[in-house]
Amino acid sequence: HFSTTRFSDDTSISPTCKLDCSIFEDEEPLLMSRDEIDSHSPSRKDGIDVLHETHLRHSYCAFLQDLGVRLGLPQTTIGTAMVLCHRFFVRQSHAYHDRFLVATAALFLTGKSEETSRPLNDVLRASSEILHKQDFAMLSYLLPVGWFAKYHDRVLEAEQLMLTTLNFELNVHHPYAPLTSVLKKLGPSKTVLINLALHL
Amino acid sequence: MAEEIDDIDYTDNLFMRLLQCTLCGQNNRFNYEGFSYKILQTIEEGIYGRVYRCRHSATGDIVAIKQIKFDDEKIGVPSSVVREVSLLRALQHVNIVSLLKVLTKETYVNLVFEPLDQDLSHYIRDNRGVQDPSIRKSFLRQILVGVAYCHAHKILHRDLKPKNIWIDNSRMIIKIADFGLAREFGGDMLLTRYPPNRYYRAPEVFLHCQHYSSGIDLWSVGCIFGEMVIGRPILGDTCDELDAIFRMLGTPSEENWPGITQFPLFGSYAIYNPMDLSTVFSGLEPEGLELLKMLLCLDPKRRISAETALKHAYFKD
Repeated sequence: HFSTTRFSDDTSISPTCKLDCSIFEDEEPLLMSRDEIDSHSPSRKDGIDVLHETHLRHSYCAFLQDLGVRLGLPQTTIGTAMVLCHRFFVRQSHAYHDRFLVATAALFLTGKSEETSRPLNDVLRASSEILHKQDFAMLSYLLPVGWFAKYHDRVLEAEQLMLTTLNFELNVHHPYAPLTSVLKKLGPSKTVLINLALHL
Repeated sequence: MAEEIDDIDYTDNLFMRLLQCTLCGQNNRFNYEGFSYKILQTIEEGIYGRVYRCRHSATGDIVAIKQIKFDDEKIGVPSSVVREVSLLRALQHVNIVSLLKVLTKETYVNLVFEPLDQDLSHYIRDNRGVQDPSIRKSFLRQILVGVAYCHAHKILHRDLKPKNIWIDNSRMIIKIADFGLAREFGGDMLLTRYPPNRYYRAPEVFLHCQHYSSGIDLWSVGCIFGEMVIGRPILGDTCDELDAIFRMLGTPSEENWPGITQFPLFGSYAIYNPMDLSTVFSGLEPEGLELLKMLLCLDPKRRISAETALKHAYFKD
């Protein structure tokens, strides 16, 4: 899931970053090596080591896969949301940003940019059900009054933060199409491989 | 500050997460730089918001600012803004409007563009079309150059119409704008949204083709070209645009559009013979008429591409 990403000196955008993007100040997109991603991650400064960050990455990817499947989203949308989260956490520290909140916002945002949008309330319900391992009806008994409205606001704020942090760079090129076309040439018996490829 | 660390399980309390996470808490709301532009004139007012002509108070630069309100808090940042900004940041071309800045407050977004003078629909209305053949040719060429650039970047505009095409009056340069409906195409992406503007909508879209592609933009260019010649939308006022298209160009058959009979919606249309386009578009040179026919080709597979259209004899001189 390591993707192309843009790296500039101001990656350590403070939490008080402005939603104020100067598009022309960007540099050309740069490919970052695995080492660069690992050593430059802002999470390092907050005492989160490489191994731990890998765990965190796995956890939000697993969460996104689960959430996307529940919402009936295509794999490309889910994959894009994962890449956007990776791009986000190359610039922002895990210590300051709840990864599941960021992931929920990323999936909601990707739905809008890839024409597979789901109503925000559906996304929020499914997301809180997964995080709580509880049926939505039960949550209103378990959580304080007003939690849903608060969750709603937080996710919308996370969406805006995502847009500024990524500077609206939301396009992701997936390997799915070229991969499936190659696999199709291998013959129809390779559907197992195609399914596998879709879940890379 | 730091949340408690857990790995792949999500058992910790959601509400505790909300309280602990510092994402956009009260102390770190987005700062908003003072709106340092002075509004000179309202250029356009649409359903999404307004376009203003503004001057920066410090530098004196003139810009166009499109202000988009998001009144429905259930939607968050509107998808048109998400698309327009994410795509326009990738497109930098003389015939495509350049986006300079994005400024946001809680309830609206300001997209700061290079200054725009006038859109093509105003120009056509004020001048009864684009009567000067060399200006008309130059406009069409520039529109095609912009569209070819978008398509080379795998981006469909999907809402090309005279209102979305701007003219820099002093240099007569065309700027394609409004990428709110644009999106990437190709690969396994789903195309589910249909362009809203019926006057410039391609026949395959009316037939609910799920796999439309770059041809829809070329159809729109053809409609705009025709409108520049006759001074009004080529389809005119009608309640069934597809019927009007078939009346003008003839009802297609399996011969000139293989697969046409597969569309369930197709069966209900009467058989028309094509009109003589040289009388409909009487002011147009023969080469121009030939190119117009290639743009308004009913079968999307045989419709000319932007790249090929630019090599057409019409542009020889």
